[in-house]
Formats: sequence, C-alpha cells, structure tokens
Amino acid sequence: MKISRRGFLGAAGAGTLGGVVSIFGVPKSVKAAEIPEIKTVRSTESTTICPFCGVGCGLIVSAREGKVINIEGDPDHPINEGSLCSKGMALFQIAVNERRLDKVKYRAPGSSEWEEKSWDWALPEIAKRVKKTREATFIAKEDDKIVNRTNGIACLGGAALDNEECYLYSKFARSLGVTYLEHQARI
Amino acid sequence: MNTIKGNLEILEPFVLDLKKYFEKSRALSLFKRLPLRDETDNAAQRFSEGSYLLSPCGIELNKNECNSLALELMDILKLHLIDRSDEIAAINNLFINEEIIPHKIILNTLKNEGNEIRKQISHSNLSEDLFTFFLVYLARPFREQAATFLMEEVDKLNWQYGYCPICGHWPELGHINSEGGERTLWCLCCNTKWKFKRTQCVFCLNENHEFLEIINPVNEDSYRIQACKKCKRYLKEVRNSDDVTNFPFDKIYLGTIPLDIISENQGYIQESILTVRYDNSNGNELLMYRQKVMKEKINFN
Repeated sequence: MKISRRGFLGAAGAGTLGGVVSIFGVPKSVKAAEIPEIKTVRSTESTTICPFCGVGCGLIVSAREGKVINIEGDPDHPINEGSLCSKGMALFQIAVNERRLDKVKYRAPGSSEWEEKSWDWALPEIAKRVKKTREATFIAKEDDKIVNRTNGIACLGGAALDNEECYLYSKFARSLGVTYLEHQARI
Repeated sequence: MNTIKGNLEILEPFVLDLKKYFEKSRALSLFKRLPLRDETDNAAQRFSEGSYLLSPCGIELNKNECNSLALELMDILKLHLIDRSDEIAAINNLFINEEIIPHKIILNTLKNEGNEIRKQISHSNLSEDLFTFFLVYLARPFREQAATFLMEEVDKLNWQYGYCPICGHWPELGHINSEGGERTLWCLCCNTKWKFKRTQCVFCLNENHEFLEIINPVNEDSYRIQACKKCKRYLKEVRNSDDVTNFPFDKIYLGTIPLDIISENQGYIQESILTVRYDNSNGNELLMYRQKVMKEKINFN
C-alpha cells in the first residue's frame, strides 16, 4: 500500500496532517478541515512511598480525574528500582476496591446484625467509649512510681497508614496512656 | 477507532525500505575523515559534564556515498509518498541542477546549521516539512556511523541528561517498558538510545506532577504524550513489553503523528530538529541545565 495523504487519513480514520512527513511541520496544502478532532484523556503520574513496611519502596501513582488508575514501582527509585513485593503490587486495591467499606458499620453488643451509621454518630461514640474505658482502667501510680497508663486499650496501626498518619496515631495513643501499641510493619 | 494502529499498518512497507536503506548504509565508508574522538577517560569525563560527543568540526564526507544515499532516499520517497510527487520532484531537480550538492547539505545538517537550510528552503520554495524529513534521514547514516565510532571507547553509557549523548538533539520518542517501568529515550537524528527518569520533563527537568501531564488518545492506551505545562514542550511515548534493543522506533515515531497533532492543538511545541538547543558546551543555558541535574543528584543521595 502506498502512502497518500488521502489514503493515510482515510485508513487511519483520523487526523494525520497528510502523510508521514508532516511531522516536521504542517504542510501548507493541508486544510484545517482535513484534521479531525482526536479525543483524549488526561492523567498525572506522581511519585510516593509505599506505606506497608519500613523499606520505603518508591511508587508511581497514576491518577485520572482525581481517581487512582494505576500504581507501580518507581524504576528510578534507588531502593526498589521498580520492583515491588506482593503487598506493594496489590496496593492499587487499597485505593480502588469494590469490597472496601466506605460507610460506617456498627454492630451493637450482643447483636448479630450490622447497622449503617453516620460519621456524625460514630466519632462522638468512639470518643465516649475510649474515655469511659480509659477512666475505668487508668493506672496513675504503681509501687509509688508514676506510670500514667491504661491497660484497657490496645492500638494497632494499619498497613496502609502513611508515616504522618502513624506519627499522629502513636502520639494520640501515648497521650491516652496506651502501652499496647503495635504496627503491622513489625509483624 | 484506532488511529495509530491504522497508521502503523500503512507505514510498514515504507519503514521496511527505510530499514534497508539504513542497513545498506552501515556497510559503506561514509567519512573521509571521522570526527575527533576522546580518549576513554575524557569521554567519561565529558559525559559526566553533560557534553555530548559528536563535534562535526574537521569531518570530511565521502562525496560518492553522499550522492548514492541521496539518490536512494529520494527513490524511497518517490515510491511511497505518491501524493507529494511534485514536491519530491522539486527537490530532485535541485540536486540534478546542482543547486544543492549532497555532501554540502549533509554537512550543513550535521553541523546543525538550521538557518542555512531554512534559507535554502525559502530560496528554492521547497516544502519545509518534506525537505527537513529528507535531510534528517539523509544525515542519519552519517550520525549513526559517527556514533558507533565515538562510542567504541566508551564502556558504559552513563548519561543522565535529556538530550542525546551523541549528537545533542532532543529525543523524539520515549519507550516505557511495561514490565520494568523504565523509560528509554530515542534520538531520531543518530538512533541513539539512553535511559532517563520517568517522572521528569526531559526538556526542563520539571518534576512537579501538577505541571506534568500525561495525555492519551482514547482507545489507544499504549501511546501517550508527556506534556510539560512549565516549558510547553512534549514527548511522545509508547508503553509496551517489547525489548528496547530491537524496538521499531522509526515506525512508531512516524505512526504516532496524531500525538503531534494533539500536542500542537493543545498549545505544546516542538523545537526544530535542524538545530540543537545547546550547541555550545560552555554556554550559560547548558550550564544551568547541568546544574539542575547535579542538584537533583545531590538531593537524591
């Protein structure tokens, strides 16, 4: 098949500015009407660090219209050079997963049913119960030494929390007097 | 509708002939006097300083081979670009009437004398896009042969700049390996390939993702444009699992013209391929570019 302007446009089905050589500039003979509009989609690629463990592998996160469309290892990162472990490779499912809960579910003590609740209900309720448990189990002194701890609450940091979230979480737990403080990365 | 895939099918015979033209040229002795080559240590030093290797000063071309390559390339264009036969004939006539001498125009191209060439285009009322295409592909065997010669003493291509380590031109296409993720840049002028950071603008080294967008044509996810909102330049890219060593860069480059159109329509620009931005390795602009690379390297370590 020979390359003609019409043939190239026709077979290609969309604008090519009349033949292969037009890449170095639009030939004067090509009219604007010969250039059909080509639909496009835009996305961004940002670099970040894997939240799962202490290795700190580099990631490239692709997003389109504010939603994550792909996560992959960063080939230019000095630690992992593009590779990821099985958890890192599945990181996309943290962001995009139809099985991920996006509403508050509550099961009352003794109940077998889950109820859907609002965040306006959940947050004060959590605070109320944390306060109640802390006050009931708080130990200020032990053997005449100030300990200020509560053994009634344990905190477990999740694998998908990032550094900053973990920092805040541990600060918060320490301020309550929690000593049973653990994180997935140490498991 | 797959615009690019359609283009690639049409281009197949044309690219095959170009491939034969390049393969044939590799067996020829194109230079009477080759470009100056640095000693191994100097070449490594030049790479680390961001100086590309090819300096056309003092080179001499083999006139007979220049003529035969020009004729052969002209025949390929005549055969495949049927609806531009008048424009091809106009170029051909200039060679026949000796208004353009092959070895001189090749030397102009190798020296990146874009202004001289544009004067010729304007003076002879030639089709700029077609003549540029002709010259870049005519000069390519010479640049390729020079690249092979210059790289003989270099063990490893440790190059971290956006422009070509051999001839200094900007890359025309990037290949992203869908398995490893790394990006390889390709120089149309001398067929050199080198690795470059994926999430950075090749041209201005911008890394802020808010100013660096990826544009995909709908239904053709393998092909994309990395466009920089800061410097308004763009790079066409293809992403697949093919081995980059034998990747058909020419075919993909020519077949992805729709991406150039998309980019131009959206206000992005492409610099002239007949010149190099950093033609003086001691120039301030190149110095600033190198400093950016070095600063980033220090931050990274």
